[in-house]
Amino acid sequence: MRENALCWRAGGQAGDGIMTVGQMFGRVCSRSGLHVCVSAEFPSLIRGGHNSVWVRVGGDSARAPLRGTDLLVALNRESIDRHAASLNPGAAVIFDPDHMEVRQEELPGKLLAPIPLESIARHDAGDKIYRNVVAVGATLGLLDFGRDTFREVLQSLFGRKGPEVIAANLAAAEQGYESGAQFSEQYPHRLRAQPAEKRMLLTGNHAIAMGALAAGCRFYSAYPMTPASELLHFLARVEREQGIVVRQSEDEIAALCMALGASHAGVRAMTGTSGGGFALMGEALSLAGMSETPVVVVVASRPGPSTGMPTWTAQGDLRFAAHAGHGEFPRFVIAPGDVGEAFSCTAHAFGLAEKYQAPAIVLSDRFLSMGWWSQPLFSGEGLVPERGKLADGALLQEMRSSFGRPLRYRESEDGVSPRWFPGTPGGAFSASGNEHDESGDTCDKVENRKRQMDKRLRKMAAAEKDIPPPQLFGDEDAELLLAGFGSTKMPALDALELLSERGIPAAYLHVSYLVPFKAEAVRRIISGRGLVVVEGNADGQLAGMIAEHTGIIARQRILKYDGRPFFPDEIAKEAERIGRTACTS
Amino acid sequence: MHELSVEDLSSETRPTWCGGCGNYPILIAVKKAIAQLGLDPDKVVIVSGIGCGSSFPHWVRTYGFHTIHGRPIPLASALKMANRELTVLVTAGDGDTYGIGANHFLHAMRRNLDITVLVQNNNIYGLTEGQASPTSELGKVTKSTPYGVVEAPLNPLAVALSAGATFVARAFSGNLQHLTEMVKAAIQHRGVALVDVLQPCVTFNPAYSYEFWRNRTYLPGQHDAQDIHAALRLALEEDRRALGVLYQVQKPTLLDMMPLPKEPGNLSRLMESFV
Repeated sequence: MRENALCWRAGGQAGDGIMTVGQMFGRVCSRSGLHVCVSAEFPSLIRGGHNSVWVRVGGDSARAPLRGTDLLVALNRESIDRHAASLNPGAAVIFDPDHMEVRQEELPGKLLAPIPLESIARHDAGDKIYRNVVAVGATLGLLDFGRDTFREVLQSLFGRKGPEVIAANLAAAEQGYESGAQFSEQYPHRLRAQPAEKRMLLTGNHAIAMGALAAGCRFYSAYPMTPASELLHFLARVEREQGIVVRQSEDEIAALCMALGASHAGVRAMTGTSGGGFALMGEALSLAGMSETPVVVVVASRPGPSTGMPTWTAQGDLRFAAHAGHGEFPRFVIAPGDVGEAFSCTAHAFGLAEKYQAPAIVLSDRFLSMGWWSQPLFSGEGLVPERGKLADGALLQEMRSSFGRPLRYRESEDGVSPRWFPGTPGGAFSASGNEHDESGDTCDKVENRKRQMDKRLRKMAAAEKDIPPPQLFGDEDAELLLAGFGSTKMPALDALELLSERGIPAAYLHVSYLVPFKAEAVRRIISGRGLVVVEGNADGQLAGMIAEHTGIIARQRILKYDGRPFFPDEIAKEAERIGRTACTS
Repeated sequence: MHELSVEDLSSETRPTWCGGCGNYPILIAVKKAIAQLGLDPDKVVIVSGIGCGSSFPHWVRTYGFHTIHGRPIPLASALKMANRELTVLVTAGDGDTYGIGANHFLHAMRRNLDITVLVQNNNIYGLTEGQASPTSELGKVTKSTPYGVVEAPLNPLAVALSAGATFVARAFSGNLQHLTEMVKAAIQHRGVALVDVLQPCVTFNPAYSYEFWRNRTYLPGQHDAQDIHAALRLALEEDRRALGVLYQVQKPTLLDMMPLPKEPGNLSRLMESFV
């Protein structure tokens, strides 16, 4: 009997509502105190094409999907054909015998659970649309788990839709459970509720949006683009209750320019997009740098170049984020590693943007932005950042009497000049994308240019102290050191556990804060060790940044750019191989 | 507080436009409009793009933002959304508004946010020294069109009308008094207001002189500015250009449809909905 370690997978046609199935099951597990990771695979199609969703459930952790499947819910025959090879020993397959034929010889040693999902939905709930609820019920019945919790989840998901809808859902759940339970004795997997603090089940996008709200973001403008669209949907949905203005702009150029306009008026502002949309934002990003306007830009990557693979994942935009926009100007690039960091790093991005009056880029990817994880409630207290240096009436008056006018871009030691907002009495000035003097007036004189450039760039040096050091996980003294950024953290931490099970000591260096780069801290950690950089791109972009900042070249790289997130076992296997080769060579 | 004069609104630095540039009257008209309407200059923001005329905000003692080519409209729009007490003016050229920023122009017209878009339309790219603009006429020889323009000129007023604008006016920088009235009417209009200003560029488009436009513009005697078909008829005239408010109607503005955001909501409750 295996307890609280399960890889569940459901497959069906696009339009079958596969994601909902995964979320419902995930919520039941999350509410039962288990750790959950939900990840979906789907083509860029509304109907047709194959969709599948993974739910990994663990008692201690569930960070990244594993390749094996312990329980497959096949809503169509294609799901069996596609996923049969992934079935682990002892796995079970729930399928609808009225819709497909599955012979035991095809799946030797696997438990077949033919359950007439659609007919139960019609008969007991009154409509075949409840098939998915039946399927989740059957899953739970098979696992002998979560019957009451599923009822609660259905109540909270569909309570608003009225008693009839709830009654139908509950009937579908109940019958599904009973049907699944018939096979339970033959199935070796069990899930058991365990005591735990209250957990949400949410995506990286939700966490980013909540981090922004916690930091006092009051304006969000965006143009739809997978995988960032959900930020727009979610913030638009909570717009009125959360007191934020959300605008869908005509394009991404407008999205960033709007965020800059709102920010210039004194409102914390954010935009979000993917690589293609971010490409359109380059010029406005540079304007933010020159005009010293704080703004947060979320870039949720997907595989490029060009349209690439819109619904898949990649970490190919690190260099792009670090260098986007023409000219040289200060910026922050932060790549959160999980939903917890998605929340805290986004909130911190607002603080850095405001304090240093510069753009802050939150770099996510499809895996983090659109995957779902169980997560304790965030502490939203005390996250509204300080506004940084602000000029009050007295300072404006003092500048007027000393210099004849207020100096928005006044020289200062840390490069940060006090700012104020349009409408402030006696503070009239023009912000500018042109090189300007301290007052904001266009000026291309040699001395002034150098002074203003140096002033802006000084902000980066000053910001160093506010950048948290990189994090080291696992066996801190291990010779084998993996390093990564962003969502690689999750499969990498799982890989450490796999390596540890195999008796291979290893550590993982996680770099969330990439610009400015904590060169000294990284150098100290990686010096003299067998460094293996793990990245979801073809170039080894983090390896390049490490080399640039530390002079240490990571020759060992585990790179993946097929659109799929890393699987922990592939990292572990490759790291083990590299470790062995390095030792014997 | 004494009544503002045009001089009070002048900045320390002086414009660097060519002598005779059509921008001078526009600058004066904007200052006069602000003074005559009694606006508090600290509550006025002038947002410009890139072009000869876009140094505009540096030369008026109000708040300003000298942005990038084509993008003043979205930036100005959010400024207004973020602080509804501000009077927000966009000053940008024909290349800026009808060329590179045409998408924002279209959407600003249909968005009906309470901002004024003042287009310094000189039918040429001046700052880059004389290339064809979206409003250069067919056959026009410029540095980028040595054999003459072969693309039909854009009709900004007709475009604005069909895109849903609620205030569409044309002025001529050779008629300061009328221009000032147009700027005032545009600022006072509740909703998006377009003022297309015919403006000579004495250096790179000398053929379109003050005299040229004086002979080709007129003030229509009888015109019902609430009649969009009448407005379109005037906008589509080819041999001469009607000056004045071609169209003005009252419709709910974007801000009328966007309730003023409440204080930040309860994040804990939001998180609970994910449990």
